[in-house]
Amino acid sequence: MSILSDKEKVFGNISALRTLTDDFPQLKTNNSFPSINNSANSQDFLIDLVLSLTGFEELRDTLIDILSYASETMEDLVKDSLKVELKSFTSCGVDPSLPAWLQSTGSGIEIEVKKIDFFEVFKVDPETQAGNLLYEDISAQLNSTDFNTFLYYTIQDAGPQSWNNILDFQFSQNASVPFNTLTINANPAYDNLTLTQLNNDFIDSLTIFPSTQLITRIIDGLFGSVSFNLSVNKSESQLELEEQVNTIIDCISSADGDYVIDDTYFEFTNEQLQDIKQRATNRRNGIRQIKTCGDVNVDLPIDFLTEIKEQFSAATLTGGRFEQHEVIKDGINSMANHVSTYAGDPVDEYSVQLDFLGLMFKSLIRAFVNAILGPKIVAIFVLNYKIVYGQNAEYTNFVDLLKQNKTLMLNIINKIRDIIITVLLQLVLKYITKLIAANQVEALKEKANAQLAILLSLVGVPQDVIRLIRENSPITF
Amino acid sequence: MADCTRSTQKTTTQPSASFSSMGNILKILLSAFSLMKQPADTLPPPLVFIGAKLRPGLSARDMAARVISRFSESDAVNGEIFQEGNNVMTALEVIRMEEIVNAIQTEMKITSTIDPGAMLVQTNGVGNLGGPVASVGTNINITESAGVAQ
Repeated sequence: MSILSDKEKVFGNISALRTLTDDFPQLKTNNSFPSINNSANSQDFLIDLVLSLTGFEELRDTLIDILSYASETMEDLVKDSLKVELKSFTSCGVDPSLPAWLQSTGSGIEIEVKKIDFFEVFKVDPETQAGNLLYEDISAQLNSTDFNTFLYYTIQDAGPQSWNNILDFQFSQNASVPFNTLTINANPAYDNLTLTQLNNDFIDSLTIFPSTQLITRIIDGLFGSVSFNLSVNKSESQLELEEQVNTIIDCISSADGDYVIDDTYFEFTNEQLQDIKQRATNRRNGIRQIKTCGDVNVDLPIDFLTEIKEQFSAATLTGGRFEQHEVIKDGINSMANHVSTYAGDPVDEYSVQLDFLGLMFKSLIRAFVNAILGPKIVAIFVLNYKIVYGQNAEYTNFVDLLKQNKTLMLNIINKIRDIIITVLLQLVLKYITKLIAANQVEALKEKANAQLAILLSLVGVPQDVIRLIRENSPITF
Repeated sequence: MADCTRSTQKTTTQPSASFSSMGNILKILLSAFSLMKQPADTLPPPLVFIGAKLRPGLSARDMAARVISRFSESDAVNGEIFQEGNNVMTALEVIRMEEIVNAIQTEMKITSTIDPGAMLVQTNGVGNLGGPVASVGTNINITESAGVAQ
């Protein structure tokens, strides 16, 4: 049986249960769900199911759970996965000790900043409105607990700086090509330790998924709210590159579990290139097209994200998880309300809000993977890459790096996808169980009433009288 | 977004589909809908024995009339009462009911079985020097039988 017919069967069953069960809102037209096709993208399918089963509040709270609580689990899993992958990446025929050139007295790795900063984070000043969203613990500067903040101020500083006494970084502007390079050496404390120990300690020293940064990534990916900001002002070509990466992430996460991820996943069809260009142009203009009666250009100003970040920071200082949860909830509510004002007809506002949440859900995997592909992880990854392929080994661009390390990409994307799918599946099953239980109650009532009607008919009670009894029965028929 | 037009070559080295694969998700969801149903309660045989004889039998006209009178419950168009003749919906309903009743009355077959031992046939007689004894039996209990409509 094809995937499409199975999907239709699931929606058909839900539709039937809702029609037969009171107190549940009616399902929208099945054909309106874009995931009802032969695609193996289980995330999009589950999101459409959730959209059809639950309301805005439930969907929003699930999103917050993923952004705040599940992201902690995800951080641990991704870190473990990275450690395992880096170990397997370097273990085959490579001396486990650090090469002399990487040790504190060696020449180190010289790499252009742009080759570890594919998303151009370091072009943004942390003190700006957009910078405040991209960096954490900004005021501590070189002593920041956020690696990105540390590296930004290292680039501004002339001398070598040490990240938690694990790796030392020194920025050089250089008079000739290559310009703007970073020289990376192991800290003297690691000269006699193994590469695995350095990798593990470095990965453990990072925070990969801060909640507010995930929201920023999701919203920027959808509306270009940060990229469009004057202090960032990303070029169209940069945004096209980012959208290429997002397309690769989408395709890998959509692939069924036993497909071979070959090089074709890192190449683009003409249709995809057109789509990438369109999305890049929209982000460059700070808009996204939403569908109501027609296509409407919607913007989502960066101020919404700034407010969430400020309130979240305050809630972290003064309160606990509940306060953080409330801040994210209010932020998502206000963004959804803003987007729904473009609906035109007030009747469409609720569905636009639901669609907005659906879009956020669909961008979750991208946001998590983009966070991994930031300078934090790429820095350690490049270090291992150079050890395996040689000190002077180079990759042509971001896509080339991803292609060369597709097993790592696949494993990490699958881990993130599994967690998101687990949360979504639990939610879907919870609502399906509710529907089935309600339907079972109705079925039992129907059976009892039918039995009563048959018995009455057998003792000669006329049909009209039975009907009258049924209509006035405390148990509805 | 444009669809992924990627290689769909399946691996032979990795284990089969992961938990998140579409096949597994669909299996989990579809299995949630397949619940066992309880068998219907049996009617008291004496009541059926007496009551069944009192039933009026099927009437396509009565059934159609009841369905048409409930059209408003589903917002179906009930016909233009000030217009002569039936509207399409009501006429269709009459045809549908006539055909259903006709099929039940003229084509349906019920195959039924009686549980072993459910029917007790009691005979009383005295043999005459080992000769054959002709006896007539009757079931003295009202019993039920299970039937399948075909």
